[in-house]
Amino acid sequence: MPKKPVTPKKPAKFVPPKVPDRVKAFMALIQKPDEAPLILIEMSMAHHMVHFEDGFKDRIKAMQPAFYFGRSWRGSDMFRVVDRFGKLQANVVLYPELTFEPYTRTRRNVAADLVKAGAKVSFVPRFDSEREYRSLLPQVASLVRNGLSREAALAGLTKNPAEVIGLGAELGLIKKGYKADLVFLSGDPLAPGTKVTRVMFDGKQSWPETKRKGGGR
Amino acid sequence: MSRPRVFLGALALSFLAVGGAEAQPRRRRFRRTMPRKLPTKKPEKKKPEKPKKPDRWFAVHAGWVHTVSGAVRRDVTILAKNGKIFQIGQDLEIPKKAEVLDAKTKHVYPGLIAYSSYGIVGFSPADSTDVFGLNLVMGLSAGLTTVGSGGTIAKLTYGTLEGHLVGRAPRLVRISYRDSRSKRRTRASFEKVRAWMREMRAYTVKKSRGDKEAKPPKPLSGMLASYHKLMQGQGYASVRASSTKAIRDVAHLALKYGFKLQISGGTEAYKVASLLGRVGARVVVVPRGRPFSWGYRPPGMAKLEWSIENAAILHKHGVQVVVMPRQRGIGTWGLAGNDLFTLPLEAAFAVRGGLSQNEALKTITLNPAKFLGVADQVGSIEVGKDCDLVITGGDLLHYQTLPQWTIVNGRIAYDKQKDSLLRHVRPRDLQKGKNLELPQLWPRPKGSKQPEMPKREK
Repeated sequence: MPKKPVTPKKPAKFVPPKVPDRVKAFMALIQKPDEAPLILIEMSMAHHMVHFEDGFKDRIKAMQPAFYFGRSWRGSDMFRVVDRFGKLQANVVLYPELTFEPYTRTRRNVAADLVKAGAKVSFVPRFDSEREYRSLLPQVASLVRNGLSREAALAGLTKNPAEVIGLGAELGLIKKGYKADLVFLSGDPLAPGTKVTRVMFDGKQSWPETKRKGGGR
Repeated sequence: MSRPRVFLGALALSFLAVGGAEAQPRRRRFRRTMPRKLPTKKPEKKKPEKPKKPDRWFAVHAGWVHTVSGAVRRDVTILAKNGKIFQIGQDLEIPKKAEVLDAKTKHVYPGLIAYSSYGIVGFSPADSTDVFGLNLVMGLSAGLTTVGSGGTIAKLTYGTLEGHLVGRAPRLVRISYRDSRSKRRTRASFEKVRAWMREMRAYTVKKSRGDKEAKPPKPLSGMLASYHKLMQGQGYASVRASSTKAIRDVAHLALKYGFKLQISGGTEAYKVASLLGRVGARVVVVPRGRPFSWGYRPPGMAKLEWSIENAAILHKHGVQVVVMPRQRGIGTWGLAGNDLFTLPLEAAFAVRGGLSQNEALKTITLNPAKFLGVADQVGSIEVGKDCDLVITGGDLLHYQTLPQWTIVNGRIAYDKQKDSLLRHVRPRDLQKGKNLELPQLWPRPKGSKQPEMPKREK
């Protein structure tokens, strides 16, 4: 005798699980890469970029991330993948240092390689200390001596870092409509021996200090 | 009186089977006079066409091609399409955009396969392989193209993750058969499975005879379920056994319960080679003696009598052999020649013990592929298999031979003259200044122009 046809149970209405708050940003990144906030991706080895591209594939261009060549970088092999950054025309934040090829004493100017490949560089000092800030310009100058173009070096100190933090429309260029945050130097910024003579914030001189109103001696 | 009832029942069943749920015109039994209504095809939705990627061609003109699974072919060209071998022959038509490698005086071997390894590909290869890593490059410089690492099989694809993962290694059922307690337990488990199989058979017979009260035995779970699969001939059991007694005992177990056996260690396996051959076992051996690298032998452990002829004797009795070095990684610690950096040397020691040249090559190419379950993709040079090649200037198993090129998935993953590791050792086509192409930035090479310095203001 044939069995009675069993009507399959209607599946219960699918209720998606609740998304925890800490994951929402990542979900937005994957689902709506165009609306992504400013993203900075830290990597130190060449294979990190290979894995990143393999994971995110086409979404990277829409995400428009900036990259940060972080801590353990002095002997890293980042120069092997500069063409990938060039294709993305990415903004790369790095220390103004000459590095070595891993396990060798062969010097490598990664900033120059990146610029030649079509990417942009932004310079940051290695530590947040007075000594590092004082040596920032001389270090960038040594990169220029070893193959980095002057324009890219100066952009890396002004325009590109402003873009990384999202203030590319207000800071970084001497142009109408931009903020009047200026630095006056005694000579070429990349020449040794150049000194800062004046610093201006919002159109007002902040250093050396002008006469204070009231109080003081 | 049961018979007519059964007959009517059968008739009714046949009508219902033929008629089904739809109302169909009455027709003669057992002959279809009306054509059956065929299901109409829904018009296919046209998917937007993706732009086709152009085919990637790669050709090698070789002097000797050691196919390993077949003969050695002389003066042929290997043509690969999208990473797989497309054609092997002479006077092939090579597409214009193909990357051509001239190795007309060189020997071509299939890429070497390490059955197990650590440190070469990442811990979870999909996420963490350093595709530029030193261990990977050293593996390529030794001719390795595929490694098993943990449970995953991955290729040494330098600089790219395309084609990196090959798959998961087949799960082996670990059997513990060393001391009396574990032996007792294992035997008891197999007996349990055998008893269950008897019950299952009894139930099947009863059911076919129409016994309605027959109940199937409770299904097996866990370890017993995997033993059951083994006894049905699915998969291999893996055992660590080095002494004669241990190997003999576990081989008898395999004979008794009818499962396939894979032995690792196998220091004294040559003493029971004929038994292993009868069992149809597989062995992973270290030709140069004890499988562990430390010299200290714990008290109570029997002194194992190793023999350089281990692999040769095993092969003679029909046992499939895979050669592995003592260290499963690549390192620059300790004694050289102990690790995967010198895998061909291990096979050469097996040749020293009497194994033939081609069989020794098989132990590091085709046999590991078989053990890992990827023999349809890698392990020998055949049309349809992946284009993983090692190109050398001479015999791969000679101690002085260094691979000149290593090709993975139809791409040159390692070029001895371009990589900084070994290019100074017997440079290929030695011409002054042509081979040592170092990108020199510091100090600035002689003759290069000094970049313009900003002038200091006076």
